[in-house]
Amino acid sequence: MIAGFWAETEVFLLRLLPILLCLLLILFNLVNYFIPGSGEIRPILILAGIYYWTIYRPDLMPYWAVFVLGLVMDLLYGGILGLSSFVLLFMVLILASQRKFFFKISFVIIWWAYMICAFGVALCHVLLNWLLIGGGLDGLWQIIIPVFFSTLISIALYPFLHRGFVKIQGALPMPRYVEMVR
Amino acid sequence: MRGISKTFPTKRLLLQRFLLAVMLLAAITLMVVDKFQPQLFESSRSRALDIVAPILEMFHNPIQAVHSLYARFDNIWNLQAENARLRLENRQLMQWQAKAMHLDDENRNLRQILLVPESQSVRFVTARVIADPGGTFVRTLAVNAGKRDNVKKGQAVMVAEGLMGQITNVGWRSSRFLLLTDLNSRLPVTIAGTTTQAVLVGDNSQYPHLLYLKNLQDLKIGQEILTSGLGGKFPAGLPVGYIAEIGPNSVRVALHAKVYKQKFVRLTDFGLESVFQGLETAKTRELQNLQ
Repeated sequence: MIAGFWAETEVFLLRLLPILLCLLLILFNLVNYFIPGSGEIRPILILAGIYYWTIYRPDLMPYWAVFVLGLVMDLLYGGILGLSSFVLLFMVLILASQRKFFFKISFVIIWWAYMICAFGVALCHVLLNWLLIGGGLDGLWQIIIPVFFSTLISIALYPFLHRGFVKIQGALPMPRYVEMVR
Repeated sequence: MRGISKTFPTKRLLLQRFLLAVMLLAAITLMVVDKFQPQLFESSRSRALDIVAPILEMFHNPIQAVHSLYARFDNIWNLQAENARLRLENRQLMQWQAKAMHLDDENRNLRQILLVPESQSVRFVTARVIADPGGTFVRTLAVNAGKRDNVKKGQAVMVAEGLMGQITNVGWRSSRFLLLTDLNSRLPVTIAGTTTQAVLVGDNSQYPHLLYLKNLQDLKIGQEILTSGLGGKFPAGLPVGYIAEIGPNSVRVALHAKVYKQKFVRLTDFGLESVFQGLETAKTRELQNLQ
């Protein structure tokens, strides 16, 4: 009985691991690295986490988790509440509909698809922030350049994060069929 | 069995899609509410930062150790040049010290003659920068001091070089402050040595610009920008930056306080209440008297 309880607890915690990893990525993004310009140009590490787990283990990255992670991002980063949740859910919806495309393809194609996702998310963020905060055309231009470079850095870091996630996925419990269907 | 595999995924899918639609609507509602009533979520933001503050301080230590090591090597590499620069600066500062002492003496005598009341002593709290949560859209920093350290909303955030920002969100053990470069930052300033006043407006770039300038022709690159004291938020004379660029339609300011270098900041209470805070307090008192 006791062994069964601990086994169940272990499985439960392992199933939470992708969400906890994404939370950790949010916290890494908060840290001050004392590098000039690191305040404005900041990669969105959580995007890689949500992208990976939505494609390979959607049962461990449910919609409610994406919504909550977006809210946590907005609360901690000081952005407009709900904006990150909206953009990330939109991205997850599109990814979930195209999951079959990602089976048995090379890493380069996955990375290329991530690049499209990253630019898409960045564009949505920029447009929604510009619409809600305002700032005129000058304001839009001031936002676009750092966002562009932040997205490039996010894309450059993806292979390293992908490798880490692959290692972690090996340790996770196998999914049940019904949970993989979205 | 065939019936179950046909109906169960469909119902589950429908429920998932329904929940997704609900969450998307909830996200849109939150965006609209936050846009028009941002004060509703202030306490949630400060509580969220309070929860992660200890974890951020833990992450901060190895990064600061690496940065200190790099700074040490950098200092050793540039030792000779740095030494020469410091000797020159020391000679200049000794001259300023003598002048400052003379001016301080003269100031005290004049205040006594004119019976000017003594200004209140300034209270401050030194806090460590634990997070840079901003990014491209919001320019803020978080520090590890909050209500338990008597930090209040609206206090000035200063470093040795000058003014850096203003506290906007206070939790129990952490606070968030808005940098002068943020899009929402507006600071009444004056050009040192002149009577020209303007408003320093952030635009999420590293060089905020000046608005409501009357005459661009009288300005020169390198002129000091100080707080003007208008609005009562901050006292007059706090160093802010200097004019870095004079364009046909805009004047850009380089701030003295460099954000990426700051490990410690001073949260200063000048004992001032801004005009708007004063109006709110007066209105509340009037309503209470009527009741």
